[in-house]
Formats: sequence, C-alpha cells, structure tokens
Amino acid sequence: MIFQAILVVALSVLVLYALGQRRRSGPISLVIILASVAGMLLVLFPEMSTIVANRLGIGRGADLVFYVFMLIMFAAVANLHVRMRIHSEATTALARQIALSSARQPDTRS
Amino acid sequence: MLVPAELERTWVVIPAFNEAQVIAATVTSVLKRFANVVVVDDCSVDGTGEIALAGGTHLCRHPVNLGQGAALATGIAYALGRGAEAIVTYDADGQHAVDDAVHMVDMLRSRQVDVVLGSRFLGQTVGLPIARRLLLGAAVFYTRLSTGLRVTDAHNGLRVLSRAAAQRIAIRQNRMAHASEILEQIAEMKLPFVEVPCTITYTDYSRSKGQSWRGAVTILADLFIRRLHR
Repeated sequence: MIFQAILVVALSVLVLYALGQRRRSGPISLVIILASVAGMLLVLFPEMSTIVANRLGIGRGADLVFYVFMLIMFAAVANLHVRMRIHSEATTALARQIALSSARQPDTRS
Repeated sequence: MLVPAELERTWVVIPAFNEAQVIAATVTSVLKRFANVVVVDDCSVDGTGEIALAGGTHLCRHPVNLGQGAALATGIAYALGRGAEAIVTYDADGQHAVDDAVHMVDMLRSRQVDVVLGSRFLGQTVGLPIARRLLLGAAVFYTRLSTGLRVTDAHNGLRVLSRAAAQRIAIRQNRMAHASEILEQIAEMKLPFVEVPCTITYTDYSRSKGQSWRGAVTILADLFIRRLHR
C-alpha cells in the first residue's frame, strides 16, 4: 500500500497545483485535473483500467494507460513547441526593434 | 566616390555574424559602387560591426544572435525606413562581385521586374567543391518542386528587391531557411523576377562558412515546421 499512498499524495498535489493555475491557463489545468483524478482512481482501483480497456478493444489495462500517456505526452510537446515558437517570434521582434532604434550611422566628416 | 543617380536610393544589406576577418574588405568593395550600405551585426563577438561602421557603413546590431534570415529582415526594415527604392542583399564573406550587384540593380529597372536573383550556375563559379555543387543541385531541385519557380540557383545570397517586393516579402525564417522562404513567397505572390548570372568566388574562408549537408537537414526541418502552423 505504500506506493499507492505516495502516488495518491503526488497526484493530489498536482490537482492543487492545477487549481492554482486555473486562471492562467484554463483548458490545460482542466486536463491536468481530469488526468490526475483518473490516475488516482486507477491507483486505488487497478482493475478498473482493465474493464475500460476491454470496452475499448485493448487487451490489458496497463496498455491502455500507456497509450493514453503517449497521447498526453504528444499533446504536451506540441503545446510547448507552439509556445516556444511564439516566444521566439517575440524575441525576434524585440531584438529587431532594439537594433533599429539603436542603429548607428557612418561618420560622414571623413 | 562616384555613385550614379539611380543608385542613390539603392541600399545594400549585409548580414554578418563573426566576419571580422573579411568584413572590412567586403564593405570597402561595396562602398566603391554603392553609397548606402547597412551591415546587420547578428551579435558577433569579434567586433564585426565596429569594423563595418569604421569602414563607412550604417550599422544595426542585434542584442542576441538570431540567424541570417532575421538579420536580413532587420536590414531590409532599416533600408525601407530610409526610403530605399531598391534593396540588394549581399553576403558578408566576400563571395560576391560588386559589379554583379550593380548590374542586377540595372536589370531591376530595365526589365521592370520586382526581384532579380543572382545565379552562380548561369555565371562563373570559382573553386566550387563537388560536394557543395551536389548539395546546391538538390536545393534547386527541391525549390523547383515546392514552388514551381524555374530557377537555376536556390541558396544564393545576392538578390535585388524592389521597394514593393521588399515590403511584401516577410522573412519569418530566422536561420538559413529564409532563402527558400523568399523564393516561396515570390512564387506565391507571382512577383515578376529574372535570374542573372553572377560570379561566386569560393575561398577557403567562404567554404568553411557555407552550408553543409547537416545545414540542409536543418533547413528542411525549419521549412517543414513552418508548414505545420502557418
């Protein structure tokens, strides 16, 4: 039971964190909350995953968890990528503005 | 300095990153024919920008290193802000011949086009290694396939843009994929263009700075990623 307890505590912390982030990024915190709650249910009632997996045409519950994990990871990477791109465009615009406003002209006296 | 009237509103944009060894020679040769030159120093650490400024060019300096595409876009924005009617893009490493650039500006006017592209494969190429030739051939093939433009060279830093073309072309590829990106936009907007033979002189220096196969993979990846969220 020790590991189950650790997982439940960790997932509860995650839920609290997501609740705190709700205002900053609503949809993502909702996904984290749902995933954490589902995770806690699976930790406490492991046989549930097998029942759901069989309904979906997947043999073992562990496989279902693995597939869902993969999907969530892919979505997270895609989300991070888009954010990075937005940041890099902002950095470019900022650097360009600085370069243009601090441009120097050649000394024309010579 | 003898500058004909039609070159008075022409600006040469030279993106440069750590080119201290060669930038002085490059700007000296360009300033012999062009009055308005801006070097965009992409956050060099070897004093490239100061050398260019001392040599008589205008200087924009990125506070962080962004890449050649971003440097070109900055230089073009600067030139447009100064009322440029034609903009020449020119590599810092001294591989281009300034007379080619003058000729290309003439072509922009005489042929009434918006873009003049330099092509090393129509002109003379000095000291081009065979591996680089194959790589450039692959780039040309890719460009023809993806844009439908009948070009003979794809990654040549020497171009002339009219003011209208420079205003419409938006370079968003910060790194090296901007060369393909510019061609894609020329194709999309159906901008009239001509290709002009130009001489490229490959020195040991420019060979060491040029694109490799690894660079080509990065370029393709950049182009692909851009497609994903346009």
